[in-house]
Amino acid sequence: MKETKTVAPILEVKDLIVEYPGGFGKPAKRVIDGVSFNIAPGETLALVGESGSGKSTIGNTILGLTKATGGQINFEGADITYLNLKNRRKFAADLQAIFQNPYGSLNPGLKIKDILTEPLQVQRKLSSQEAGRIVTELLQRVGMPANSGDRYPSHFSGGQRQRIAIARAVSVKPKLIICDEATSALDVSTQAAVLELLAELKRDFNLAMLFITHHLAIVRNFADNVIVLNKGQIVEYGPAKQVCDNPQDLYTQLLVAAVPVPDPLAQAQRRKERHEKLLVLAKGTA
Amino acid sequence: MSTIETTTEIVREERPRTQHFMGRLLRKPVALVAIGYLVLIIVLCLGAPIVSKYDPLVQDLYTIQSLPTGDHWLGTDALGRDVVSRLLYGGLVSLYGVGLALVVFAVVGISIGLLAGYTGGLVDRIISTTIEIVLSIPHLVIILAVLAIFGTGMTAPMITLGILACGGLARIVRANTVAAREELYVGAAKVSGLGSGRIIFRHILPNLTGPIIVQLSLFAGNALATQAGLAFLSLGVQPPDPSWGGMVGEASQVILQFPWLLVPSGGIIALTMIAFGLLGDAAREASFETHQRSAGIAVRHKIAPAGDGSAASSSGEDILSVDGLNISFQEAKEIKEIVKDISFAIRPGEIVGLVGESGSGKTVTGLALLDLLPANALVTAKASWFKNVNLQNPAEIKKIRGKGIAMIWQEPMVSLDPVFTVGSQLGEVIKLHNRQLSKAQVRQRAVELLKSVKIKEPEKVLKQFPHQLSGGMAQRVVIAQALAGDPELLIADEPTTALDVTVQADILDLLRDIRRERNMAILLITHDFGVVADLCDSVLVMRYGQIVERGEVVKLFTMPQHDYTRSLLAATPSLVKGTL
Repeated sequence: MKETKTVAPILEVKDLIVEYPGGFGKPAKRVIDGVSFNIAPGETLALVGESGSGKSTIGNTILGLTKATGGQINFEGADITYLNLKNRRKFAADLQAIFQNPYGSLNPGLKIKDILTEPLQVQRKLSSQEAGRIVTELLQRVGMPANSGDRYPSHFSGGQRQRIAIARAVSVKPKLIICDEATSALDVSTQAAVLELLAELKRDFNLAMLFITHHLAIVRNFADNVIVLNKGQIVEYGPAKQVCDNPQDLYTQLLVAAVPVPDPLAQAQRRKERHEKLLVLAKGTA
Repeated sequence: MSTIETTTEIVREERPRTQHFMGRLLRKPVALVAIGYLVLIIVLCLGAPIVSKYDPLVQDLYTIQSLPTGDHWLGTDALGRDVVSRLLYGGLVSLYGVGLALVVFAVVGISIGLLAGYTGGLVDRIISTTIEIVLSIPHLVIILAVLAIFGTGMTAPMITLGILACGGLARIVRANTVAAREELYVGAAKVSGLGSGRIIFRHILPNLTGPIIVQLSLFAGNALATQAGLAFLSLGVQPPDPSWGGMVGEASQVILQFPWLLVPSGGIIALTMIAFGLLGDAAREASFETHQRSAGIAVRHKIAPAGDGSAASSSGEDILSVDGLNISFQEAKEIKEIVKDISFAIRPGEIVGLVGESGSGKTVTGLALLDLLPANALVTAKASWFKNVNLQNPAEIKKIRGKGIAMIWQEPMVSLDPVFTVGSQLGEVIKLHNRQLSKAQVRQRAVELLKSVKIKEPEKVLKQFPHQLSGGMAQRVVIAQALAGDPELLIADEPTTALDVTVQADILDLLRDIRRERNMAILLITHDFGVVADLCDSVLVMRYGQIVERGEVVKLFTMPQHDYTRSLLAATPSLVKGTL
């Protein structure tokens, strides 16, 4: 486990528990089981796991979209675990999110400039003129054509929409962005461009990021630290490069071994190693 | 990530899919006619004193039961009152009633629908139950009771009607709100810190315009019928005051002597109801289109070979050879070229990766080989052969579909029918390929197939339904289904993209084993260079419908020739240090 330095963490998650009601007579289903971690200002923490590991649930619980059953979430020292939507609003400017599906996260009935000015006017109480100026700047910053503002989301490709969603998230100058599979729906070259944009914004604004993904290969280069999640529990937590290159936990080892690398010769070797590991495991359990 | 110099992003210029609902509605001729008619009626009724010089109540006993004349455009009634004048003044009463009911219906229905849908929980349950109870009460009985209490006048009964009927609208608004509440953009709005009111009125309500307008126009027709019915019974509006329903009542008393009198009053009620109905219909269509892109125009496949077609079969050892394949789609006005003059060949037992980003045409290419494209696709080729089967002839393709060439898709669950067990679906495919098999033989073959895709307890899986299978297990079943016809070529379109990475590795292993055991060729369509590196012997790189680079897999990865291949490889994240 890695402790953050003397700087106060921007986000602290302590023993988080999330349960979904089980329905009549069935016990509640525990999807997050005692997860704890910290994010320091400017840190990128990746949350990796397979489907059903609970990685998105953690993000949603921090955002208040899912209710926590137990534990505590502190944002800049303030307990936000059980806040309702109304009381959560004062944190909204500092805590933003980018979701996976760029086709669903933009309201199809609103023009891009309206989508972007809305949080500015609500959060930063800017005049519509001021907001309009910032929107133009933002669009340019995320590499969108200047006339994009007057168009509807349907005019844009997935990568472009994700850029707009990123522009919306950074417009209110947040301190922490939760990226839930933000690049998973994108083509590789688009994904690379979006990751590059995120990395730049991270540097420019000293943004902290909780980067939720199933894609281990991205993590190694993009994140500072990584948490590997399995069935709602942390199985490994450490610096991204260290976890990817030299995983300690068995589950992480199998996960890392299963990721194909874009190099046929290296991949053939990795495949052989994976098969050997599986064979040893099968013998062990037999 | 900083080492990426060239990052290409495919910019798609789509036709706007979600043009505003009202814009779509107003472009429909039927809607325009209906709206035009309704506006005309409303204007005429409001302007009744100007349009008609007759007082609707003044009797002229010298000209009773007159047919249309220059003075009385629609004739006079049994007491010599001008029909046009009575229709217009009566319309005012009728439309006031409809309007009142409509306003109550809309305001109450939308409010409680939004409240129930957005709040959820106990509030939702109470409202939904109440709506069900109210909807089960016969409206007319309540309205008659209200009339008995409040006496005459249209106000009380029409407000009652609006309240009684609004449950239907509320239910629809509720259902749509529940769906919209789950939309990511509503989640995004919440995260932005917007208040509930703002979210409802800016992000949820505008997207419900379509369904609401449909309900409003249908209800307007109903309200008019109810109002006319009450007036016909002389309830609500008292004679001699004119109203459309009342006029039908008056006409019915003299129907034997003067049948004409029924035509203007009955006609205007019928026309107005039809206008409401057509408006509702058009609104339903428009709101459907708002969410669905209009389909292209269907054209029949052009199979005629573009070349001389001299080659009689695939040459030499190749199991599949395609030469000069073009695919285009006929869309509203233009023809869109998706695949431009590509040629490739596959040898028996070879695994060929067809790699490209979205929009490159890789999936379309796979579908075209088996003639599975929609009707607006236009496929031509100089030559296209699977062994000695001409793939330019749909009748021939039918014979090899599943037997010579099989196909699997990205989403295994979509390929399986949720209401049948694995055994029954697999058995169906087996029987399709070999009709003579007995029930026991079919079952045995199904078990064999499941074993061949490394399913450990085939007997148990045969009895299971698709929803009981994990994603990896479902993909194995789908592969077993594809193997049922002993194909020599498997087209696998992103077969592991929807799966977890450990499951993906297992499925890739399985495909490799199947190839070894059956010497089956695979055309692997994918966007993932990692998957290509793991499984493929050779690679075709596609971009904008063209093959930009091809070659043996190690050579392509170590010495990519084309800039696009290089930029794709550079953009592919790798877990191994040093590669990026």
